[in-house]
Amino acid sequence: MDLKNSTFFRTARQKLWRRGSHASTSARSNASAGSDIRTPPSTKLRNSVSMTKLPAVSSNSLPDEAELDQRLSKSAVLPQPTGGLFDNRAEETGTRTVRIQEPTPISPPFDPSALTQQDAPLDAVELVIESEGPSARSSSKPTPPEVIRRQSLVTTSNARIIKTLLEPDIPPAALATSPPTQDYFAGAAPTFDAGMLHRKIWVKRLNASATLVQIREDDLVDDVRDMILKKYANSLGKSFDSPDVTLRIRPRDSSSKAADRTLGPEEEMCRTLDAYYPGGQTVNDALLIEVPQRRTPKPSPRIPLYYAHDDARPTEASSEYFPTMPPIAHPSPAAVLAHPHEARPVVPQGHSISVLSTGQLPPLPSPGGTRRGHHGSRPKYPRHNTASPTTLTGVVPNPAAARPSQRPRHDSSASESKHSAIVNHPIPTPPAPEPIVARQNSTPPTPRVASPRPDKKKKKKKEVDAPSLPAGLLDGSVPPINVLIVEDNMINLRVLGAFMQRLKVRWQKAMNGKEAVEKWRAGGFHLVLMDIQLPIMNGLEATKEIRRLERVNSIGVFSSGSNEAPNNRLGDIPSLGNDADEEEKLGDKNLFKSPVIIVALTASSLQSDRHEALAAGCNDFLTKPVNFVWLERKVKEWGCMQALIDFDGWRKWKDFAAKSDDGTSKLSTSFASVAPKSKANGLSPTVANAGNGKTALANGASGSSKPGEEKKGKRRSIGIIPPPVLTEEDSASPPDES
Amino acid sequence: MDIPGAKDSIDPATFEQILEMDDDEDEREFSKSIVYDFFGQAESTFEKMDKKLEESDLKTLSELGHFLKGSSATLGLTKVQAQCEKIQHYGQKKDDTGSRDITEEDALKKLKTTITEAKTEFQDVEKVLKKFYRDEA
Repeated sequence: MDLKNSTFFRTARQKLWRRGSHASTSARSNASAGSDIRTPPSTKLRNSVSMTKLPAVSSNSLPDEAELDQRLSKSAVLPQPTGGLFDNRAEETGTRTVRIQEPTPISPPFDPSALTQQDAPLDAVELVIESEGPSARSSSKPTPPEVIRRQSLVTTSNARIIKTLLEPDIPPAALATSPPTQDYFAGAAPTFDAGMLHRKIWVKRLNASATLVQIREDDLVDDVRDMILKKYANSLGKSFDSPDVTLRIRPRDSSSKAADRTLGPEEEMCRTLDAYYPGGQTVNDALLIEVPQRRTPKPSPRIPLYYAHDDARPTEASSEYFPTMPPIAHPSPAAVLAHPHEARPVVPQGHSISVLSTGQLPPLPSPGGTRRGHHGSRPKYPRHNTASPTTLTGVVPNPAAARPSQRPRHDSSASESKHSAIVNHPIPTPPAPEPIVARQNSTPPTPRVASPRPDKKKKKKKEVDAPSLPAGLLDGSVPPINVLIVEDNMINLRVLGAFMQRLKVRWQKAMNGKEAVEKWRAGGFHLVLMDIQLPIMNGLEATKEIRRLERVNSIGVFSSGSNEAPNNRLGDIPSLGNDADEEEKLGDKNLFKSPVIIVALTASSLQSDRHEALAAGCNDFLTKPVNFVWLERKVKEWGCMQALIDFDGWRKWKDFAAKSDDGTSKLSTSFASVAPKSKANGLSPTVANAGNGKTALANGASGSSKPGEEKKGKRRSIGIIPPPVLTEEDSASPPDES
Repeated sequence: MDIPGAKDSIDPATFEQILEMDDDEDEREFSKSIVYDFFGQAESTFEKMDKKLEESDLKTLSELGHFLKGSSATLGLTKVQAQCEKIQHYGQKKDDTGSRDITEEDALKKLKTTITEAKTEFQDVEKVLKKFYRDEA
């Protein structure tokens, strides 16, 4: 093959190499930040365009375009250049060709002018499918200390092509002699940085669908685990650390003696994949993600169990890179020896356990670091220093120092920098002290914070039941209800109104029963404090009238449930419509979503009066003089009931409250289905409450001590509310017949 | 909150919950206005009672008694409240507990004395309260 005559190659090269594009390189390709840059001779570089167009560009000169495309689609196309450019030492075994010794890519001096002058048939570049695995290794590994850093222009599928195009730079002679590493790199012309290449691999969880995870060509399995956790951010990322994740690879040939194998964290992902799946990994070849069953406290890495385990399998990693690989993929030891730099991956990178045998620092989280108690700010994928389960299947840990020096990147720094935004790479610190390990093991992985919307109302209910709480705590919890105070005595009205104001409850007043009914018909009230003895129409009559109108207008259809309520709210009164005169129909049914709660204020302590009030349709009663503690309880109790029933109205309340404090805004309530229950509940506590309230009043002492404290706290918190002034009311006038 | 001289006439718990609503414990604007409004209300109510007593309007007398009972109870003026409750019962031609019927004549007779007692109780508590608010002011 004559490279210099290859238009195809030249074009591709020009597209790939962006001369002097340091700006874009630094901006977009911080992935390769760790690698040095060697600026190539400027004459070699041309403008680069997207590599994806490569096949099309070369189509005119391609003798067998279809064949090429087919090869390209496999993402495993490697050039086997003819013409002595390459050292073809690959052993071909049928379709599965594994070339263990990849020629070392060294870019020879390259004259672009020659390329431009000559047009060569594309078949000069003979693309031959070679062994994927080794090729990947060769392309990724030889990242010289000084390499031109370029941004990745190519998609995964094009990665091979790029390599294909780049590798011909290697002078045949150099390849043939398998030069020493130093020479190799010293003489390296601009070669392609594998870190620029992305690739997607299939992974899946057991019995789950596979998914693609993007990695870099030179990512280690350990890096892949990080990416997997990123992908499975919810199911895995919240409870597992990347070291907990293990990847199992299954050879295609199930009949092969080698069954599933757990990948060691130090293996290079792409190379392994290519070795296992010649022609590219398909969905069916998805790596199986495994995690520990459930996070139980794991033994400290110091426990000798792991020693034994590792020691029990010394041969696995001692001489062979792919210990359990199918025989076809086994590299020959001789080949490894022949290419020392190739043998580098044989030495696995030490994982965290290696600190035991090597003294090397494992990637442990900083002890007592910021993670403690700061779940909100902790990394997305919290790292627990539990032992990686990969140790069990493992490869003997080896110190990272044993890695060949020619590889500048010891722990996949390219990927690290690329994913730095997401993954907090562990900072090597001294091994965490034992207490910390124990603590972290015993700590649940990610304690979930309670929902920000707890049962607020339930809490309030509780507080209602526990009046001993300081009133200051209760002040903010009074439900946003609209109260109608029906009271003919101006003194009482003012006091009650002032108290409602203190509770931040909107209220209106009615001086007699008739006015109460009229005001109620305007709608929007949740609670009526009804004095019983009233002029014109007493409280009992007003209550009966309200209940009658509610029934006529089918407000709170007790038996039919809430499903029917919407129809009724729209004014459609199917069964009772005939009974309702036009005058008795209520206006906006949205303001009457539920029967109003009527609390009778009885001046009499007579039991008969109470029963009479309940029979008239009151839900509850209070004995005058109204004990404010009890009044507050009632308001909260019934208001919370309304809020529970109409949660939407409750949520809208803040908007309402912001807009209007005049007490005229309407709150929507709908508790038709719950109404019967509320009514039934109202009866029993009513008697008890009233009795208690009276007792408190009669004794005085019981009402004075505790309520006094509450009131004091209340005033502090509600001091901003001005005393209510009922200006429009004419003075409190006693009933006068004349 | 001690109110001098109001040991029996004022229920401290009830009255204190009115005082608690004062924003300023020195000025006591709210409770003072309430109390002084009650003074006016009570005086006008007593005037009406006297008038209705002359007319022997027991029903209205009962309502007036109930009316003043409510406000006096709200303020914790227990003695006034008790007299007003009696007025309410007598107006209904019941005895002071409201359980037994009495004759109209008996009721009017009892009303006359009870209204007088109620006025006395009111005047007593009025002095106490006025003194209280003057001291406070």
